[in-house]
Amino acid sequence: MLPTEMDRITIAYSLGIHILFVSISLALPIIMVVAEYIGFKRKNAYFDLLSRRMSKAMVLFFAIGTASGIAVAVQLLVLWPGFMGLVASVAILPFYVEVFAFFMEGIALGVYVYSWDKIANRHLHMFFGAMIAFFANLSGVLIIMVNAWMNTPNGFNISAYLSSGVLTGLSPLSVFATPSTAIEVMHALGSTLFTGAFLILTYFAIKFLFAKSAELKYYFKSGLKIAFGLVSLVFIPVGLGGTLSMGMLGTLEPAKYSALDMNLVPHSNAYEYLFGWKVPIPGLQSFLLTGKTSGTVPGLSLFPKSDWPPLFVHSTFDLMTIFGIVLGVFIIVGLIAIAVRYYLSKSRNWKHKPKLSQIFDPVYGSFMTYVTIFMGAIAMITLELGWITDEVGRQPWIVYDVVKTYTVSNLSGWVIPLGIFIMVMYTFLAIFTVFMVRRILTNEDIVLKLKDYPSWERKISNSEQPVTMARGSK
Amino acid sequence: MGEKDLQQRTACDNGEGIKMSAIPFFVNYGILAAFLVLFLVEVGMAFLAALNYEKFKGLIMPYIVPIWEINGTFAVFYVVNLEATYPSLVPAVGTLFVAPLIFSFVLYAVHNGFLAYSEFIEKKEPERIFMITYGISTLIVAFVAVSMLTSSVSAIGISLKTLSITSYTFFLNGFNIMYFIAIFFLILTIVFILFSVKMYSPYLPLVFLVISLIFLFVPTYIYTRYIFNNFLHYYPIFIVVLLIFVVSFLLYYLERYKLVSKALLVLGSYMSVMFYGALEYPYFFNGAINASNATVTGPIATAEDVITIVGGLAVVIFMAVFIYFSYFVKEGKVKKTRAGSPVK
Repeated sequence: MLPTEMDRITIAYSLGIHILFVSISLALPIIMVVAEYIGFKRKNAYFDLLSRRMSKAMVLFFAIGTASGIAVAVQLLVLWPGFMGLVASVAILPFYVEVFAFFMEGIALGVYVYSWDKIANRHLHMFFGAMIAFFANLSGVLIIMVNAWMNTPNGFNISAYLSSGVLTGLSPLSVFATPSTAIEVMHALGSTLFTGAFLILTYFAIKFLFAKSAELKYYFKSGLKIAFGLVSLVFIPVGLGGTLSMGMLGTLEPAKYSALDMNLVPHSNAYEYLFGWKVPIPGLQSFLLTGKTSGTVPGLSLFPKSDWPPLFVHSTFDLMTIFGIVLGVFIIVGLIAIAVRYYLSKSRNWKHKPKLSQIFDPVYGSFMTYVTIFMGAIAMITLELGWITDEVGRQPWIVYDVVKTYTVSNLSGWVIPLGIFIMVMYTFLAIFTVFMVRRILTNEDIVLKLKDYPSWERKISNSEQPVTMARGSK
Repeated sequence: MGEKDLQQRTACDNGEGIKMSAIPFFVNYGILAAFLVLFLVEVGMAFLAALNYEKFKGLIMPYIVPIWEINGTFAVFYVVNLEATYPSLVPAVGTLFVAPLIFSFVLYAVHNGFLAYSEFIEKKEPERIFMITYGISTLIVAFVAVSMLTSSVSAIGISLKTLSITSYTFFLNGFNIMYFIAIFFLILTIVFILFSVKMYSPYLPLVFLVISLIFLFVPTYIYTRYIFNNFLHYYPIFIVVLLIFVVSFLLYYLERYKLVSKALLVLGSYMSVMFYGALEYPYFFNGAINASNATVTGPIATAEDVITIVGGLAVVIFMAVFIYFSYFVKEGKVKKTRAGSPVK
């Protein structure tokens, strides 16, 4: 194996795990603060306890996310020294601002977690919780800005750089707003947040199904409700961003677009293909890209073969799209079921509620809870597929149309043993962290902890009793 | 620059002096100093954890728990600031330090993970094992990090021509070993005073400090003569730093103004690192690279300055709030915070 191949495998493996930790770190503080707010407003002990538990898990995810983030930052420096040299000269500002966002997030987390019983004003406490969420997501935005710059570089005189290798016409602030930044932030941040929220939703769904008492069921249902709300809310920008991304790629990264849609030659009235199967609507692809069925779409033949990305990205792209649609259908069905149940609960015919709304309600119905667990796995795979599509689709360029990946990688023989070391350590940390989070969030003493609260805060109203009582619940 | 030539030159007599253009160098060094002071205290705590966790548990957790996340952020801040300040050095530094950087930062992930695990684990036995794992990984990270820092000063064990390191010489050269011993004893001095550790004799911290100074001066004189020459030129600053330590020690032994004594110790440690930066300025790698020539200029430098000031202010404000709640507000202020009904 060549060092340059090991560079790519190592960073791909590290980032593949890192984005999963990050996705949870983005969603968790939002769910945590919303739970605290609801607990505070409704004087509900379940939500308050949920928030406290989430904050402990947040510390773990922050610890591992931070450490793996540092490791990824160092890997970028040492595995791609030439690339980071260019970034440091042209596009370092988003990274630089991100450090401060990272700082603020860490400090806010410290205040939130370790001052829970020190801050008398709960609004102030919630403010620090909101700051964790804000700065975590701001960090995400800033990192995506650098990725957008890799896809559509600006901020320097590119033609002068390509001809002489000298950096001129530096405009450091323009890096914050490349032609692809807005759409990429919408899609990438949205999908990362979406996946994080979905993984948390899945955790609550599993615990809800296996909970053995009404109190525990209500506790996990509280988390289910918030996580499903967040998932539903975030899905809109994810879908919109995804649709807009393809239009943008057709104009700004036509080689990547051509590979994703498997267009070997440019043509008009282009059909859309899914796994090689032609969708029988004439001009659908042309319409999606240009707004006209007669519009011309780019093809790979416009580019030298050495500049083609690996063509398997067409399959990863199709899979991502199909899974995205499946997730969307799941959310829409769930929302309709919730709306129907809500409407019926207000009417006098509540006793005769239709079975269907129970079945498809992700918060009350056991069928949808099982489906949620399956969808959690789909959401995780979709995020990874999307990331692979984006990164591999840009190859052989690390900075599109400017720098090729192999020209800036570290060719030292050290990278092979170190790459193996990194992957082993990452695997160990990922497995161990999941194990530890499971232990921390274990429900052993939740009922015991609930007893610390006044009884009126622990009361579950009849209308809020979970309908589904899984095995052993009686 | 020849070695003999370098040994004769000092920052002052060759006209380099410390000018306005040195600000980026010292901003970068300031971040390094802040990270080092926080991290080295953590290393001291980790040493105590590895030595006898049960005995020192009461000292370790209250200090480390609130700040370990911030230590990690300082490490990232230093790396990013280094990249932003010296972009032209990034490819060389990245290629040169590939092995120690990756090794130390992956172990840093282990250190973070096991500290967080031990914080929330409720059973005693895993907590002890986690803390020992944390302690050992921290000590290894510290040794590798110190080796990188000392080699960036002495250039021993590295080749700037081939951008490679010779592992044996890199880690086991006299300069590195003696500096590591010096830093280790400095850590013990700080930890003993900061946490009022009473072992054997009360004058142990003083002995540690003297040993530390000896192990700092000897290799500096032998291996990096230009730094030693600069020291002779800037010795009044050293006297100020030494005085800060003396006052801190006096207050400690007189058992008066303990908080002031500890604050002076932290300030003295920070100033020591900054003073070392002044001695090293403007060179890296024993005179092979002039930092002034590699420092970023133009619009990107201006933008970085603005971000540093605005971001730095925001961080300082948040830090003040954090320190207030962490160390000055007792848990008893809100006896039990229940949902919506805090009981004061």
